[in-house]
Amino acid sequence: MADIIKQLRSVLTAEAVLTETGDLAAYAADAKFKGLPPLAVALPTETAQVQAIVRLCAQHRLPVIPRGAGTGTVGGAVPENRALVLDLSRMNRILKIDRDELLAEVQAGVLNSDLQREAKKAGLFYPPDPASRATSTLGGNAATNAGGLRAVKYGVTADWVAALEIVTADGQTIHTGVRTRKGVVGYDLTRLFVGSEGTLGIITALTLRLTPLPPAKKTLLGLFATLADAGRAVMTIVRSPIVPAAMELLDPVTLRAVKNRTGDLLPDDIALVLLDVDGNEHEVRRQADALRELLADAGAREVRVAADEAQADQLWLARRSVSPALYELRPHKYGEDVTVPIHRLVDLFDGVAALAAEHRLLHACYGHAGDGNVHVNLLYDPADADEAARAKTARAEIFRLTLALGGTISGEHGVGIAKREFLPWEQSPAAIDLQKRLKRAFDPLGILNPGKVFP
Amino acid sequence: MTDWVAELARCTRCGACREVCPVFALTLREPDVARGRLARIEAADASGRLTHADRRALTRCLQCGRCREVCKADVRVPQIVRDAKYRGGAGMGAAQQSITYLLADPERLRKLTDRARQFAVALGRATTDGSGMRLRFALPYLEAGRYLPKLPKQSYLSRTTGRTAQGERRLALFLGCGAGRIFTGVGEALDTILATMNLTAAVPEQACCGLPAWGMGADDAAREALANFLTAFGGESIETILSPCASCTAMLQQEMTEALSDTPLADAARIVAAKVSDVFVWLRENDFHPPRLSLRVAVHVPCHTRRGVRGGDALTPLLRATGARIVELPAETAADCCGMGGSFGVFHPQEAREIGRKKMAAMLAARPDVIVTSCTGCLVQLRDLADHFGATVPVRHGLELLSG
Repeated sequence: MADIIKQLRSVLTAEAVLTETGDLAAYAADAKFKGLPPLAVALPTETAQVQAIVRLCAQHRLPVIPRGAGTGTVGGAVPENRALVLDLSRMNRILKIDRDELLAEVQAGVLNSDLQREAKKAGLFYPPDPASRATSTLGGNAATNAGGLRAVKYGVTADWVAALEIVTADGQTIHTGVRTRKGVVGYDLTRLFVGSEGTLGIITALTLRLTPLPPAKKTLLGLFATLADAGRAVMTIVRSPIVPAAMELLDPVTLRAVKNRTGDLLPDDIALVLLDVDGNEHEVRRQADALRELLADAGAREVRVAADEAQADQLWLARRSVSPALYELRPHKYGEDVTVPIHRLVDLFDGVAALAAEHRLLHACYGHAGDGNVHVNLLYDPADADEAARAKTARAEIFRLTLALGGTISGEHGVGIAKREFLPWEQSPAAIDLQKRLKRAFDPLGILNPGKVFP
Repeated sequence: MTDWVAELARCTRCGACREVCPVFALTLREPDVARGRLARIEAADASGRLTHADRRALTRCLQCGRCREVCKADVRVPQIVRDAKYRGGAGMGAAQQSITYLLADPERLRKLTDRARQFAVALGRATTDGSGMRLRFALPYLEAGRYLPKLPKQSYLSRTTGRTAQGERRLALFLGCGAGRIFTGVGEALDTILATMNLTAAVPEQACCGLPAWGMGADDAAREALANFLTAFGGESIETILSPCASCTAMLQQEMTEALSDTPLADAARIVAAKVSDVFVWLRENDFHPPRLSLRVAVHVPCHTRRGVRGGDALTPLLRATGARIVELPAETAADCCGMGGSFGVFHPQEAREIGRKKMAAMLAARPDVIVTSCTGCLVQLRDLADHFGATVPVRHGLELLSG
């Protein structure tokens, strides 16, 4: 062990290799999952350093766990056994924003919001925006195929990754993908690495697609008496020719949790559909008018347009604060990201409510209703063993319900540690076996984030 | 006392603190951000001991409170870090112990400053603006080249201690170490301002507010300082206690009640804390007519003003009322810390300067005639930074401008 630390220090610098117990404690968890402290943490700034680190780890058979900002919620970047954490935070350079090609080249540790800000300065737009965008890294976004609030119109991270620079398990650097709009040469390795949670290779740089920045935006609110009413409105809008840039749903419990952020803007005991439309001035006006009508026809108690940008920002900030705010209601929660076909949305809400009632649990539903991705939260107190056990059972039953509705147990968080035992519920043994063989082909020594994803 | 261990458990580990922490921005190491600090404290609590490395690492927090501002769970990180330092304080360095001991009592503090002045000439080289000197060589906790303010022949306190209040309001001044022992101009400026309002403030015998000790987790020394403060300022005859330093004000308004909560002084602390007012907040509320100024002014609002002082930043509006032009700083640097962070600047001078550099560069880029602030700790740091930039722009306490 002392040997590899010494070698790591000569590759990086002494300051960029952490081994002190308290320093390591900071890398034992992500935003949800607690594991064990790693043996060491390496903080590279260049791809060549990542290559050298991976080669050393291969030589010493020491598992490598790539980590971005540690904002994941399924333990994907959390050590479970002796391992090296490879923190990519210092690889934070935006290498290029190309207005002609509509591409950005970034190192893996660049923050999502930093790219959004720089793209905006060039009149361009990088749409994928997970709620953690101000903290999370683009490398992490790609490794988990992060979704976010704009997926209903703009898709998820995978739709915006053109090409990747990968350090493979044997320490080589490869480039996947194309800079062009089309490209069918060889297998689509880019798509394979996106969402592979650091188990197949380490993303060190990304070429991301950009689009011209829509000049205008409007935020609308539909206030509904019940969550089911709101869900039906969402289903109606999805079937209409209007495609909102975001369509989020917040149930009454969720709204109670963010009351301190919404203040007097909203009445109590409603379900809220929060929508953005974007485009040019004319399109935005037309879409907003059409949506007002659709929401009213769908039975909204009230339809509002955000008074100004500040009020719209306030509402979206409240939406982005939901996940941590729910801890104010109960000390702990299962915050899932199940996704169902849009037309089953209300069935999911009803089913979840029935399960929560049966298991006597406080629950909250919110999220990206426009794409069927709902954050079903089961709130509980770990100190109450009975309640914690009921929450655990209810969580599994929600996965069963989701699959019965034709959905998936994870729309955007990934599998990591948290959901690997449920993988066989969704995929066949043959499909899982094929993926495991793929993993062995990419990582014969099994040093890349071992133990994650698969049961 | 607050249960800080329970407070720590409220962190949801969302990582939002990574967006704002000035120390993390510099190093990009998770142990240097609130979430990582709390993980360290939690692990140390679980193992039952804080190691020397842990204590050293905890000094790497500016306690500026930016993290708490963005924290969706409103976790009081600076206080948790402070408390952990205290709980692990058995091995606090001898130098820290002696300095906190010396600051706590008026007589000890007077002797300390007298000695320091006698030796000062031999230690440093005067800076161009004449306001202080640079150390010729390194001393414990002070690196060579560090800016140190000039110690006056006669401090403000040595001239005024024992003065009684006159006029319609029964005011008392708590100067703090900076204004009381070093920057004589601050107290003099306030006297001038109060004279225009036909008032004279009492100056009871006083030492340190206890913040340096409290921030380092030297709670006994902090309590001694606070007890001395309450003895001097606890009398019913005092109506309002004016404080010109944001850090002292935050200590006396907010932290004092926490520090003394389990002691016989708890009630007295609550009563007296309510009488303490930031001098600018008080001037704004009390019919002070600012002079006319035609200057370009860059204002550094101390972290303690932003997040500790009742009434917040009253200096900026007062300066606006003078007709002075307040220069706009870029949004991303306007709220930045100067880097001093109390003991942070002492233990990690290079990083403190690195953190403050961005703020100073932004202020200098706006070509101000003068830079002002309202904390004497910030004042020392800003002068150090300005001098390192080779800038000749004066750095002043806000009162020195408002006195005309």
